[in-house]
Amino acid sequence: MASELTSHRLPQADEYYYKQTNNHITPRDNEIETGADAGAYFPLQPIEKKLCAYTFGLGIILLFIFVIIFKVL
Amino acid sequence: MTDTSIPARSRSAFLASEDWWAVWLGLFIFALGAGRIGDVDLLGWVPKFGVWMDPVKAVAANSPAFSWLGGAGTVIAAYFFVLLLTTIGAWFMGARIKRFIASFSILYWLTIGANILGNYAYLAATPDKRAAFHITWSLSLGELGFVFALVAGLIIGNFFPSAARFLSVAARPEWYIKTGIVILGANIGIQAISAMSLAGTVIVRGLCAVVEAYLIYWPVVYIIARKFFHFTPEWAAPMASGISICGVAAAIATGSAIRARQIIPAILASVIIVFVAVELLILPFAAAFFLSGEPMVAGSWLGLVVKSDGGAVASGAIADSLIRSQVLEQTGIAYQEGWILMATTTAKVFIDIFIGVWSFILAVVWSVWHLSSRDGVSRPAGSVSKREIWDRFPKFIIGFVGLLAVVFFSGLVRPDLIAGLKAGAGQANLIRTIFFGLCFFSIGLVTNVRKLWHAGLGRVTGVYAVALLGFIIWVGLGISWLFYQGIVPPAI
Repeated sequence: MASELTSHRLPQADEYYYKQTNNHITPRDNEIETGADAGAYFPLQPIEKKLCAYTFGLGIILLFIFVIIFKVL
Repeated sequence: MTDTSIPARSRSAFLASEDWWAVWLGLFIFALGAGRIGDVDLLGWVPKFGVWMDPVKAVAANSPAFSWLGGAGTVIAAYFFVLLLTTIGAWFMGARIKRFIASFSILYWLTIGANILGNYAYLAATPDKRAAFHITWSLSLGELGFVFALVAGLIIGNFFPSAARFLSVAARPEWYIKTGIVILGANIGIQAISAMSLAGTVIVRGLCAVVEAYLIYWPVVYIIARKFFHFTPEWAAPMASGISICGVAAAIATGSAIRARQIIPAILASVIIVFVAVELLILPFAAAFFLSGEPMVAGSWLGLVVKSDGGAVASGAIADSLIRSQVLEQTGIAYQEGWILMATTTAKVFIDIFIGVWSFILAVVWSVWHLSSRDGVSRPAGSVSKREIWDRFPKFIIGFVGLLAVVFFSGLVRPDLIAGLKAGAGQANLIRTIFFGLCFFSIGLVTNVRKLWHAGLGRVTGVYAVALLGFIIWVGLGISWLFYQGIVPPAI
C-alpha cells in the first residue's frame, strides 16, 4: 500500500471524494482508525518540538524581513 | 477499504492523472482560442452569460458570426464540446464511461441553470446597469451563479444520497478547477502585459505570503493536534498540512511523505471538504463586506485561508465579482475583472508548489527519526528519492505557468499579437467559467455535512475548528494585510 502511494501515480483528491460519496469509508471505519490512534498516543518528542520551533521561528524572521523589504524599498 | 486508487486505463502518468488532463484540456481550449490571432474564430460559438431580465437574452454566442445559434444552441454546442473533452479524459483515468456521460450531463445542465439564475438582473445588475434593464433596484451581487451551483450541489449531496452517488462519477472538483486554472493562466498573461508592475507585485508578494503562512500555520496546527487533541505524528502531520493551508491534496502528499496509512488522508478529506464548503459560503461574502476597500488583501486572504484548490479559487472568483460590484456602487470606480482572483490563484499555485518541497522535508525528517511510533521502529521508513518531489509536484501548474509565460512573452515581443491573444484568451475564459461552475457544483455534491455529523470524527473536527477559527483566519488576514495593503486593481 505504501509503495502504491509513492509510485508514479499518486491517488488524487477526486478519488477520495468519490470514495466518501459512495460510502467506502463508514463511521465504523472512522471509529476504529481514530480509536486505534488514541491508544498509540505518546507525548511530543524533542525532534518534533525542534521541527516546529525552527519552522515557526523561520516564519517569524522571514516575516520581518519581507515586511521591511516591502515597506522600505 | 483503504484502497483509494481507481485503476486507470493508461499506465502513463501523462494520461492517467487529473493534473495532466487539466493541462491537456486547458492547452487545447486555449489553442482553439488562439485561432483569433490568425482571424480564425474557432470558439465563437461558446456561450456568453449575461445579466438578464428577458430569459431569451440570458445567454448568447460570444461572436456575432455565430448568433444564428441562439442561446440554446450555444449551450448545447458547449455541452457536446465539454462532454467530449471530459469523457476522453475520464476514460483514460478509468471512469465507467456510460455512467460518466449520464452523470456529467446532469451536472452540466444543472450548472448552466445555476449560471443563468445567478445572472438575473434583480440579483446581479450593478447600479450603472439598472437603467438598461428598466429596474429601480437590484442586490448588485455580481454573478451569483457559482453560489447557486454550490448550493444546488449541497442540497443533492445532503438530501438525495442516491442521486449524489450516481452523480459522483462526474463530480471531480479538483480536475475541473485545475482545468480552469490552466485556462486562467492565459488571461493573467494578458493582464500582466497591460499592468506589468502590478502583476510582478502580486506574484512576488504572493510567493512571500505563502512561505510565511505555511511556516507559521503548520507548526501551530501540528502542536494543537499533538498536544491538545492527542493525535500521533502519523495523524498530526497530514492533518497539519491539510488543515493549515492546502486541503486534501496536501494531506495526501504529506501522508505519502511520512508513509502514513492511506486511510488517514481519506478520513481527513471528509472533514476538510465540509469545512471548505462552509468557508466558501461565508468567507467571500465576509471579504466583500469587510475588505472591499482592500481588494487585493481580500484575494490573498482567501487564497491563504480556504483549503483546496477548488475552494480557494472559487472563493476568489466570488469575491472578485462581489467586491467589484460593491466598489462600483459605493465609489463609482470600476476595477478591472480578475485581479482579485489573480491574487487568490497566485497564492494557491505557490501553495501547491510548496506542498512538494514541504513533503520532501517531512519525508527526510520522518525517515531519519521514525516519528510515526513511540519506539520509532514499528513502521519502515523507506528512502527519500528526488523522483518523489517530481511525483508529488502538481502538474497542472506547468500548464498554468507555461500558458501565462507564452501569452505574456508573445505579447511583449510581438505587440501586434496582443489583440488576437486577448480575444482568444477571452473566448477560452468563457469555457473556464463553465469548468468553474462544474467545480462549484461538484464541491457541493461531495460535501456531506450530515454524514460528517455521524462520522465519529469529533477530534479531527475539533482540531480543524480550533485551528481555523482561532488562528488561521486571523494570521492569514494579518499576512495578507501586511503584504497587500494599499494595492488596488487597475480601474477600467
